[in-house]
Amino acid sequence: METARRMTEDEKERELLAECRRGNRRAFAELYEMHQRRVFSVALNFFGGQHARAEDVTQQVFLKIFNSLDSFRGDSQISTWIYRLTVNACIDERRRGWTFLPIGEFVETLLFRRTPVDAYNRREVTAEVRTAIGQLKEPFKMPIILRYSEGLSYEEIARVLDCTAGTVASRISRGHQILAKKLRHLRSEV
Amino acid sequence: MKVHYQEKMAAFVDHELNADEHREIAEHILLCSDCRKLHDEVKLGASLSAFAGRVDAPREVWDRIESALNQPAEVDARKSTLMFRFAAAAIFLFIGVAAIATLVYRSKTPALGLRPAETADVADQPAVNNSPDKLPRTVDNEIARIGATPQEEPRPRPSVEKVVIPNDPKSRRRPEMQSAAVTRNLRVEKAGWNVDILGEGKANDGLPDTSKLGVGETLETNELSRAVVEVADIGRVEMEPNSRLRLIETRSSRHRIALDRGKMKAKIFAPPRIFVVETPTATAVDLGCEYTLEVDGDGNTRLHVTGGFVSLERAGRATIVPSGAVALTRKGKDVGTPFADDASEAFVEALSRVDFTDYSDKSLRDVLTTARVKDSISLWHLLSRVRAKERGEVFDALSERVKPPRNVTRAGVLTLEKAMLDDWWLLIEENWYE
Repeated sequence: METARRMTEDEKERELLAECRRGNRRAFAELYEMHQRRVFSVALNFFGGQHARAEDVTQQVFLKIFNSLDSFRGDSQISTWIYRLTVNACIDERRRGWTFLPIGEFVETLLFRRTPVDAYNRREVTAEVRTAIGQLKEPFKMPIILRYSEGLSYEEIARVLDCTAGTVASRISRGHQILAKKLRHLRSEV
Repeated sequence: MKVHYQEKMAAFVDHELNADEHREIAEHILLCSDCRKLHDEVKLGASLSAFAGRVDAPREVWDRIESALNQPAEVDARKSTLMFRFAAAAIFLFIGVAAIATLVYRSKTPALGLRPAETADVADQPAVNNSPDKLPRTVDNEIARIGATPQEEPRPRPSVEKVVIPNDPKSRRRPEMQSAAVTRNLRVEKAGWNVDILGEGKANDGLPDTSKLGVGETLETNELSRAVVEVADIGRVEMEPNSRLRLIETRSSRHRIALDRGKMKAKIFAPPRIFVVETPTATAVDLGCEYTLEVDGDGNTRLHVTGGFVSLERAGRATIVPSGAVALTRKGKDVGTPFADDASEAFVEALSRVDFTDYSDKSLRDVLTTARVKDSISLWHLLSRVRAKERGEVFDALSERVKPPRNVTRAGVLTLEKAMLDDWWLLIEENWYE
């Protein structure tokens, strides 16, 4: 059933892609709607919850998709292709280095760092987890995001990151150990 | 510390290994304290990572994308403007050169009889039509003309939406706004979960399309069939035969179903408290986990957690059930005390008496005397469930199995001091996974 459903989704996406290639902007809007959540979520977690940077990456990824529709040969699933673009865009964005945060986000970051207890009171465990994930080194960070935010299997993650499932498992193990040490005070939250 | 399964521990926790490998590591963990520690760390990391979750991009992002997609047209327009200016300048230069050449030629050919003033008029004629001060206005008009007619410059990527290069910047916002509306509509249209009915399943009359389960609709399996339901994009539910399930609510922040009867297995990848199952006697709130829920003809519920945690709630009281534990509910009673899925029959039977049928000194004593170290989770829960006069007895039994941390005192526990109970729980939980 799972396979059948995926095929159907994939077929629908491929039809959408064909429409997009013909310049149908509404089809592109629909493609955006189908994938915006995964692109934005990956970027948001990658940048430790910084919305502004996640928005920038989402914009870059979809413009890249629009401009490289012809280069998608269909060897992999569309979602895999989009994840790859997202991973690359995140890395490129990070290489650009320091950026201005919107003032609200900046203030919130400061508050959050200074008074974590208040943050919990505001039910912002999620924010702290995102921050910790965002601070992981890239090899550990992306597999964890793709697994726990996106629900991808180790095989799927391996395809996106172009490595083996064993490498994925090893990196996730190591990443979890780091997270557990950093966030052990949140133990009661899980 | 010597860890033997560093590479595979996450795969073990995430159930990504084959059955043999999984069993091998599970058995090893029982014997190797270092790997047990690693397992606990990885499991904690995995549980916390589930908080990361997924989020929709703000609507403005699409607006920005649309705006950016429109820019190439403007770039083209700017390119055409430059080309036009270049061509006009070239024509102007050519005519100017031609005029000068003519003038020079004519000055050398007085036989034509032209007066100098006439010569100047002829030379000025084209220059008037292409004068630099007139040129920008002409270009602007040209841009406006291109924008106003369908015969615009072909864009690198054709679009069914006509690209208008406006005179008024406000008008440029219209197509973007239309597309944003389309986007919003698409969001609204997302309703219903994919369903696959296996065997000779049947769907109620209320379910118009067997491939989708919409809000308010009911899915029912008969004695021969099962069904697999995709829970939006956060997991799946497998319905066993003779089960009835209703979809009550589905949105990004909350997915709620009701299991009226039968049995279901849920596997959910979502932040805590997003997925909720109502049964006739309790509410199971997912805290990032995998579990089985069973409801009998009387509405009694049995929850068996096989991964993560579930909060089983009733009448404002929540019982956290960890992986490897079972909790029961009975009509008109509080949620039962959770117990290990491998607890002895005698222990389970005694606990059931305490919880549901015969709360007596004897029943409580039977629970305390048949409890193993692993049954400490049940004893810990009993601390707040038994009467105050019996609490000391439970404290002693629990202390014998898991020694309380230094800061946890008998007096504090007897008055149910939350911080102490929490600290003790952490120790009990560690033992639980060992």
